[in-house]
Amino acid sequence: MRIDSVALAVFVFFFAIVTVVGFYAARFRAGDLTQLQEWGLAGRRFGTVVSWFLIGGDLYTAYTLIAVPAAVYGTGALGFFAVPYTIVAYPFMFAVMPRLWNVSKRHNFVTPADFVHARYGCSVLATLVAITGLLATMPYIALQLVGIQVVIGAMGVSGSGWAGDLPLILAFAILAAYTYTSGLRAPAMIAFVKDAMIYIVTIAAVIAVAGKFGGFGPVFAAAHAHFTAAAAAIPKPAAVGSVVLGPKGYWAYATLAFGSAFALFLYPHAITGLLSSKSGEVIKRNAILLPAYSLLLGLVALLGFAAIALGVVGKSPQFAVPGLIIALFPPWFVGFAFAAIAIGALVPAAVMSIAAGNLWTRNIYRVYVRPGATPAQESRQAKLASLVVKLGALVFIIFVPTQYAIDLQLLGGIWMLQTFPAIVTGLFRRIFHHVALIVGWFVAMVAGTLMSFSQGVKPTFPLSLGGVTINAYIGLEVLVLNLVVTAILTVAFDRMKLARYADRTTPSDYRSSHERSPGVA
Amino acid sequence: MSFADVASSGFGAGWPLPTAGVAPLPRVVLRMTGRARWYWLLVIPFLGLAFPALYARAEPAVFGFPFFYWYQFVWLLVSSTVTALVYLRTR
Repeated sequence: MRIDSVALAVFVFFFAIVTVVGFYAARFRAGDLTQLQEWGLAGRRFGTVVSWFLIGGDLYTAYTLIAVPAAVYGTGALGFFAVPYTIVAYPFMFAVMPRLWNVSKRHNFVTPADFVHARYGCSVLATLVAITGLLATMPYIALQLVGIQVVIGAMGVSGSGWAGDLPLILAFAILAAYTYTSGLRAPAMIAFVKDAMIYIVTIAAVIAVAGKFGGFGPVFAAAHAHFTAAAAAIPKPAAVGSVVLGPKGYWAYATLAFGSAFALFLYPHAITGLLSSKSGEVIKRNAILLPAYSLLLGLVALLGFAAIALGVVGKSPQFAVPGLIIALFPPWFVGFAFAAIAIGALVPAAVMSIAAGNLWTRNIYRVYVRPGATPAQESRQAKLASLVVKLGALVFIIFVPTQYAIDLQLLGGIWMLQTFPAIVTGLFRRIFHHVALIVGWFVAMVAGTLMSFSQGVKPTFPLSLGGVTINAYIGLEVLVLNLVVTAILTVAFDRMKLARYADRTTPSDYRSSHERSPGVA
Repeated sequence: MSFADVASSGFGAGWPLPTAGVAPLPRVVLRMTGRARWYWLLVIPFLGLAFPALYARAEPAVFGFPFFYWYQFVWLLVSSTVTALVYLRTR
């Protein structure tokens, strides 16, 4: 494939704009960036609109834009689970996350592990929550790089050895520099550019596909014909996808959707995005408004079928959307669309590295390396940690096959879900004993990892219960195990009078200020 | 507070606001409990999507979209509307 100079020029132009925005962002609602609250949470000052762009830009990553249509392209209906996933995630966010915001504001928590520490009084449990977050975040950052890699490759930019990775290294060096100087304000401002571009590209692609085929009916028909032919060609047709979900996929579909939804707001980058808003009220309003992105995601997912209908063939399913864009649009718009996807990687990558920096600083450095660190020392540590994390992701993606990053990201979701008992139940009541939570977490982490490996790192595992086999999402299966172990041990430990530590939070900390003052209607 | 106490008090009693073990503030708690009932509506989107057996079908198609797809797009709107209703009723 040759390099298209027009596409490349447009791509570089938009990348340059975003770079300027990223450095300028330090002055946006300026604060003292030597304080961790300011660098890592932008001073908790974002209103509904800024939060909508930031959280939307943070949750719908470049990898989503590449991987969801790739899954639909490869497996059909099952890949569409991302849509019910993001539908049910928001009612969950509405019910749970304002409580985390309230208690975090009250006690100056920066990370979910800060909350766990104060709630259960146990630094070991808090460290485990922080480590789970770090483990799940690093491959996620690496996958943002995969998103950039795919579009750079699709433009025909290639080279051998170091030269081939140079554009990627350059893009990440720029990202690292403005994240370091501007903190969370950089992705917040870039999110405006990113989201506008992604909306334009998606709407243009949907209109172009509908225009080319005269509606979406022929697109579904072509995909159906494709899967039927593929199923007829092999002896085990169940392994082939379909346009309408088959009975064998029912459990997998629903559990992947719900499990992913419960895991989403446990991720450090999602919590960083939420805590940067100025009130729990802002989070509630965004639970109503963020589904607009899910509509976008649903349409992007269907582009996987459009790629089949257009006969797009690439060396991996990940090429589905880039291939579709090249087939449908003139070079200048290809450059614009690819820039949208690449910039789409920068927002979440920045927030993820900031979240990782916050976790390292607050829950490892401040606890084990330098207790009593000043806010300025914390901020400095977090900045350095965000650099190290990004460098690690870059090295990983250059030297390790991409498949490992994808596998690790999948495991990351399973792992992340195992912090649900400590964080989510903890936001309502301190039901569980902290030692029970530690054992439950450990059992579920080991079981989930082994189950995933036994399936060749797949997200689902067939469980046989009384003659019925349920092929469901491992994350949710081991979460049930986790909760059962934690509940039984809690009863046992309380009977044994194994001491619980003091709770540094009070019930009113979880309510908003106007809920706290009686008499306010 | 033991696990047994919480279990017997019922998770739904004052959900999402804790009532067990809270210092007595009867009027406030009562008001919160009434309003907190609206939160149960947030379960609706989960019920609508929990059983693919009910919606994994091609017909009736709308504008060429098989039932499976447009059904889920409709739930996107329902979910957002239900959340908005709960927001307005508990504000």
